Amino acid sequence: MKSWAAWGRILFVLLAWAGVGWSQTAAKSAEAVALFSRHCAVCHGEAGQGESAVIRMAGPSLQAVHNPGLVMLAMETGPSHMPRFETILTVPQMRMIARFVTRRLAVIPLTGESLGRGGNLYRVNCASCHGAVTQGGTLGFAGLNAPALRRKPMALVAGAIRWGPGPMPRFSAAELPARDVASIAEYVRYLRRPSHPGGAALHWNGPVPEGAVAWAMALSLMVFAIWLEKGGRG
Amino acid sequence: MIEFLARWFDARLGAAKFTRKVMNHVFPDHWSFMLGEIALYSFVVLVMTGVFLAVFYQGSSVPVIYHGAYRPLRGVRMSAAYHSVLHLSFSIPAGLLFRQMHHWAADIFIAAIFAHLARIYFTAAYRKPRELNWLIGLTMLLLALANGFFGYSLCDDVLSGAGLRVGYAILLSVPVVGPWLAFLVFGGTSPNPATLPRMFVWHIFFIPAALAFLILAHLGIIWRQMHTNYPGAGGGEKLIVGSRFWPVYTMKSLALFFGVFAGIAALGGWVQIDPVWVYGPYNPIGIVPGAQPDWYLGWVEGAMRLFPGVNGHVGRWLIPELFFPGFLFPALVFAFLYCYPFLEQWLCFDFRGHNVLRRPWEMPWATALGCAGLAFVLVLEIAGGDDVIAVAMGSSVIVVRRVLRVLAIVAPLITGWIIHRWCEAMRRKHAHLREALAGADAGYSEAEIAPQPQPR
Repeated sequence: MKSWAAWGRILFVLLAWAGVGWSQTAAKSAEAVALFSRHCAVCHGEAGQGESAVIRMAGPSLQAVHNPGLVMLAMETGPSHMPRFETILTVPQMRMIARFVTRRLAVIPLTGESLGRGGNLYRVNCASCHGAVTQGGTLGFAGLNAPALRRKPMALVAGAIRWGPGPMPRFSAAELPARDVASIAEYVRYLRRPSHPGGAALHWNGPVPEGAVAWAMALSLMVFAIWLEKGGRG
Repeated sequence: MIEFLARWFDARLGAAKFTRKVMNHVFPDHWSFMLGEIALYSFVVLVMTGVFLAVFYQGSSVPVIYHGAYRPLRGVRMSAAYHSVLHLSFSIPAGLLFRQMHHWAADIFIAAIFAHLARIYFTAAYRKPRELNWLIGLTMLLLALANGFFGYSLCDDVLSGAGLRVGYAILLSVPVVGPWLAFLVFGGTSPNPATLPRMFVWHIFFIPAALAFLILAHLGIIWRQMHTNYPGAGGGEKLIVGSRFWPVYTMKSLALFFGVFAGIAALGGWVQIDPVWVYGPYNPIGIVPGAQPDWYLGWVEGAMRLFPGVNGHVGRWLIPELFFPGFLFPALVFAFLYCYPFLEQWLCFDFRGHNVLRRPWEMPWATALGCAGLAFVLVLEIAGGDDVIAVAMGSSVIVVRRVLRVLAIVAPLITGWIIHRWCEAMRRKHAHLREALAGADAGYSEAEIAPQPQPR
């Protein structure tokens, strides 16, 4: 009987602790949602999808941002068009938003899928604008160029697939499920440091630089012929 | 022993007399006479590397799954042709080196032919009695272009398939016979499993054999006829001044062969060309920016990009826009080149034979015309890569294309005008010199070492 009461008391304390903890977390979570929808959703969308009914130059998508440090950095420095939040929000608030973004909104995985599948998907869906090795390319209409992806953060690259900034089409989850996006991310990450057998890669720009190099060698051989005609002197 | 063998052959073939004659054949000394040799030796490298590649290549469109050494393509479905290219690149020792040497050699082969053609044109070496060799040379250029295109197509990567598709469209655009012509070459619509095997046969058998035969004819005619020589080199219409075939000329030519081989091998080993593994197996929607033909067809590509989108109509029939820049324009260029020696004979009423070359400024309109043509082709060549240029300059491809459209008309005119003026100035200068040296020999003694004259 006595031991039963003791166990009961311990259980009560534990339940109370869990309850308070849960309510605190819920409150924190609610605060994070409120903070996000007040400060961020105007541009990034309520679900972090990167679109907004309010501002035309919205974005980018946050659905592939898995690194809270990246969110903190963006809020502190304000890259590109984004305002700086270091005077508006406290550090714990920013930390709360960062945790909310990376734990709740980031639904697109970036790793753990097949490279071969990613390569296939990349070549079919992305390469026609961004080039075979993410070097970028011209779109051929409206005078627009598709950007190179090499220096863009992976989180932005993967997020852009759903978000579709500018003239880029949007790929819904029905067209490219999350694991396909992750495969593409895997291949794009591979292309940052690809194995390129066969020597210098001529910036991967196809037959145009190759033709220039071939002509340079042909002209060098002509110079060699001139040297030979001089009897190999001077 | 050697002496015994030599006597044995001499007694049966009369080899000594023949060898002596060959060894004493005199070639003039000038670097510009060696451009054709660069092409010849590139062809030798092409055959050597090509034989190696043909052992491992499979000209087949049967689908297979890749499980080879290149990680990012494992598990990918592709044609047996593309698979064999990957296999020979990654799993055969020195396979990639040979493949890259083969491709670089092709680019340099045609560059050398082009430079050789320009030299012949600007020094009027096509005049009687050398019209035949001019025709043979042009035919070899055409065959080389065709074989380059076929070789580019055989890898069956995205660029190959896109190139084939463009070639198919050009053939289709020919009025009246287009569909039959396209069917004849491709064996059906494109893409089509019949295309690769027949292109492979053309690429490794018919065209190289034709080229080899024409090279023999080309060299045989050069040997049979007297070689041309530059005015002022000590020779003349009936006299060649230069080096004997053995030993000086042979050594020079051999050195050039080693130079060409070394240059191509260095590129093959150190500079990547046509990395088929990044383009992936052919898929019609996989076309990428930076997809161009190799440089020797870039001018046709450029013409197609610059030509305005205007269809032609003859009665009820449509002549598609593509026909004009894609088929008619290159056909006219080659028709003009084929006719040029006869055209000039007829225009200048000059039916004599010429063994002494014409210096470029001596016929200003011909040189100006040639340079204007080169300027036009150069603008078209640049237009063939306008998307790459637009991205490299951070500019819009539409702006680049507009600028090039203007340049395609203005650049040849300005170039022709400048070159014509330069030729006239040179002509006046040399006329003054000739007057100053009146009575004396007007030639220029450029040869420092007393050469051996060879009367013929």
